[in-house]
Amino acid sequence: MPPRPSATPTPGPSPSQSKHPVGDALYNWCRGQERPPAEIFTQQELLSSGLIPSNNLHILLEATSYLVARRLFKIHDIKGQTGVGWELVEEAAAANYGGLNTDEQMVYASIESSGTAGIWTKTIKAKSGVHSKVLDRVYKSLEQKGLIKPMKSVKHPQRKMYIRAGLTPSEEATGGTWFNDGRLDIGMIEAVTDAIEAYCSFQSWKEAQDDSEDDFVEQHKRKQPHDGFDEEGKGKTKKLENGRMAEMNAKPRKQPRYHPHSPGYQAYPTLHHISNELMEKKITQLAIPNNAILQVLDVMVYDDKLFRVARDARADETPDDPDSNQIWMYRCFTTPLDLGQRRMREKRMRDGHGAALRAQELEDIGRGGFSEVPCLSCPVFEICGNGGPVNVKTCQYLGPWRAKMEEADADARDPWPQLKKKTQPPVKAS
Amino acid sequence: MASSPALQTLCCELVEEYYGDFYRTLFECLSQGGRLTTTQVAQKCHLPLRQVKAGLAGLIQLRLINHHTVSDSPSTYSANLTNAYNTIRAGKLIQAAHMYYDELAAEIVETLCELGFATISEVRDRVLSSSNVVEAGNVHLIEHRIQELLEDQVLTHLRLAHFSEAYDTRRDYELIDTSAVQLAKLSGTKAKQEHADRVEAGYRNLVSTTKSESGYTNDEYLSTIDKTSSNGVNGMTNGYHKPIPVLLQPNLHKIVSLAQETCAADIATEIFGRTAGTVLRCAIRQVASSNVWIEQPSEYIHLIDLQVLKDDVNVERQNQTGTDSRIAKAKLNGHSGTTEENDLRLGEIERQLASLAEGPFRFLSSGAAGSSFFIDKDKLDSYMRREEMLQAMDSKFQAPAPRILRVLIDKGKLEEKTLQEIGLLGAKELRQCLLMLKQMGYLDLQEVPRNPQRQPNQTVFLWFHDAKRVSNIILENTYTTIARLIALLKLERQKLASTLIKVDRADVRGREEQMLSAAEYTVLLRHRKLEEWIWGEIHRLDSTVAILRDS
Repeated sequence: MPPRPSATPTPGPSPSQSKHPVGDALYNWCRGQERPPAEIFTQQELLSSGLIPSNNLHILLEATSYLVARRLFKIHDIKGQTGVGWELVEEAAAANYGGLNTDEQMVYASIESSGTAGIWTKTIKAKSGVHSKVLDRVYKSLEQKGLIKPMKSVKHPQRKMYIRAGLTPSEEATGGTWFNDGRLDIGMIEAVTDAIEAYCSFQSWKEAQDDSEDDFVEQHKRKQPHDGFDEEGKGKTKKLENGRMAEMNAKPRKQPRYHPHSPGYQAYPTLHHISNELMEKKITQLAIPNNAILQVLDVMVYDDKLFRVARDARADETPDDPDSNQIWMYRCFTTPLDLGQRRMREKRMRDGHGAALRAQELEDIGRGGFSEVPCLSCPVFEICGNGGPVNVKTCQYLGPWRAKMEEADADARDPWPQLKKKTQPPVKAS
Repeated sequence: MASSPALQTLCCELVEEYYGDFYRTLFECLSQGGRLTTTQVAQKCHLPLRQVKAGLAGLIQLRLINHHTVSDSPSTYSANLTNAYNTIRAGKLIQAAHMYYDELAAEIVETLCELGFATISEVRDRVLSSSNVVEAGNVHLIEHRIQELLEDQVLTHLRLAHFSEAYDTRRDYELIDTSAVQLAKLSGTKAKQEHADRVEAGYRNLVSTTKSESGYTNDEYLSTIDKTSSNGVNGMTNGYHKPIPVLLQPNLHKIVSLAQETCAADIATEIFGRTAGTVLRCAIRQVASSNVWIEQPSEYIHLIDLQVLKDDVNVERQNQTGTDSRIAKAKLNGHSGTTEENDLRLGEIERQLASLAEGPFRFLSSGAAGSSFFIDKDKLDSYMRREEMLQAMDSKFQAPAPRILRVLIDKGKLEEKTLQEIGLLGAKELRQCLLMLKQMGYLDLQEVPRNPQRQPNQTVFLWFHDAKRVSNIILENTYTTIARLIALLKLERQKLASTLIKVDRADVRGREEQMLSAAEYTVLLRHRKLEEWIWGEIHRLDSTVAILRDS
């Protein structure tokens, strides 16, 4: 009785397989050609090597079959031509197939062929036609052998995907510099954005040298008290903090004042400058490629943090817009001082300071006709109206808004007259 | 102006707020019913005909309704929503007159806002009888100020055509103009186009606010104002009407250009400082004041007169620094009155303009030599609309919605994946935000099937932003919000009805502190504070309407 065949009859290329001198010589010849990876050898090229006796096609077929069986060659159809070609595979890569059963080989081959893009398990199943339970076992086995690893794709975060163990997923799959483990790295983006904004802000304004001119940008702006309280409210605090009186009496430190650069200024930072600055400051551990920085700059332009100005590219510069031979400069309309104040305010808001919140609200309303009426951001705006369940009488948002108005007037030193609270008559003890 | 339910409601609320219940009933009936006769209005309002006729006459005087009469049928009446909405701007116009001219100008504008329209003699008599700023008999000063207000288009002439719907005026013109009638009989595209052009030109001539009904242009009229203003009637006829008095009306549309210049100046001030803001404000004012057609500004690029701009800026700067001289006073005296040492020189003005032109103000451009500057009116309007819309969206939505909207405004139609890449956004966050924006009408989705079966997995979904539609949504929301604020005012007044009735009494008015109890007086003061806030908010919202709808 013949032995019962196991489930995995073909253990892949084994060292015990008989040698094929022509095949080995052909492999060495191909390696000697030093072609770029993944380039395909045609039949004519292999015959021209002079290693096939009498250019006998039968011998060539035997040799290539031998190499294919040992995973040292991969067969490819050649586009636009009839016939096949062979791709050279490194010995180390071919050795990975050693000790794999047929299913494993099939799956591994699929994963390997997908390269850095990785492959979806559903695609492997469709290609191989193997049952999903078997496939699960195969994945486990291949993972244990250290041949494959799971990966996440940004474009398809729900999909279970695999990639060859030694490879790094492509930028398309990982999402690029700004993604980490398939997720957008918000912290990193914010850090880079803040650094760029600060740099562009410093480059877009010049510090005023003299005090004679009255048109400094800071003068018109609403001065924010450093601690969110106006001077009036500080009286008690001043008295209490005697230790700090001397410091308070000292001449206040003069804040820098900024002018915009003269019209026609050509030295606003470009992508090149910004990239160098980020590299110098070492905001991230790895160098950020220029296309990734450009992506962030575009986003900052959309967020109104930066403004793009064009100028003609110099001879040593690569134009951003090749058609018009222009290069983009990035200008920030927020002065370094305002930027610092804004960040301080944001920090205070995160810490729950009401005054900072109000200051931010006023800043947001700022210009234009838009107002702070609660109706405009009301979640029940559509169902509000006369006769409905929500109306001016029953509105829950108008009361707090009214209190805010009163508070704002008090802040502006124009307080509303206060109603006297009715005092309860004392209850007589029985 | 396109009518909408929200605008109708708001206009009714405004009519009630300013003119009372009775006028509101009639106005509401006409705004809902369209074109109606007096009998129909009486039936719908359940009011006696006599009252309705008196009410309609009042509404015509206030320019809140239009009327039209043809020879063999009864007159019809329809609500004028534009004018009804514009009543909200009366306060702003009075304030502007006070700011840019003087108290007398403010009184003249206020009188005209109260009356709707009036002849010069009516305005003069009324101002003389009520004014504290003009001595009795100083008629010349009032007329001079009226002349100035007319020149600057704060006041305009009222024409008979302004009392009718545009459609009726066109029809009437077609019937009167014989050559237009002959052209209408001809067939062919060219003849039709000629006919349409002729009717349009005729219509424009009839509604032109730069000349009076009797045919005087502004300049002609102003040169003869002294001779004809004794009774406000001049002897000219316009062919088919008897001598018509020169009628004046407040130009509430002026607020649009004021809102525009204020908004642009605020942006410039925020970025480049106060001087740049003042320069831009004066430059835009120069463009606005050169508008011949107030109703339909023509397309053109305006060359800024730098010398005039320099004078304007220096007067404005002096005004800002709190000097007591008003702009009008300076103009009347024939010189700006500013001190030379504080004046901005021409070079500085040019530098400021060049800085602004390099900034985000795309409507402002400099000439080749750099010493001439232009403002493109169309670009200015679209810039202001875009800024206002973005401001509205920024204040309504949290991040990343404003970024998504900006990307779509810039790029047009985009797939979700592309949007994710450009905007550097997470897939989940982006999808949630897109759905929210779609639900609120700020974004639309276009389906482009790859095959005729229209399977979802074979369909490309493109997101896009329809600016016109979004602008309408914002306008609708703004109308509703203003209406609610007015309802809130009404509610607050109801709560304080007993006190307010007392305050309205002639013996109490002006002496509230003495006549009311301490508690009542405190409540009254608090109510007035609240009213101030609410009206402030209403005027802010009106600026949004002015920029988004009227510019």
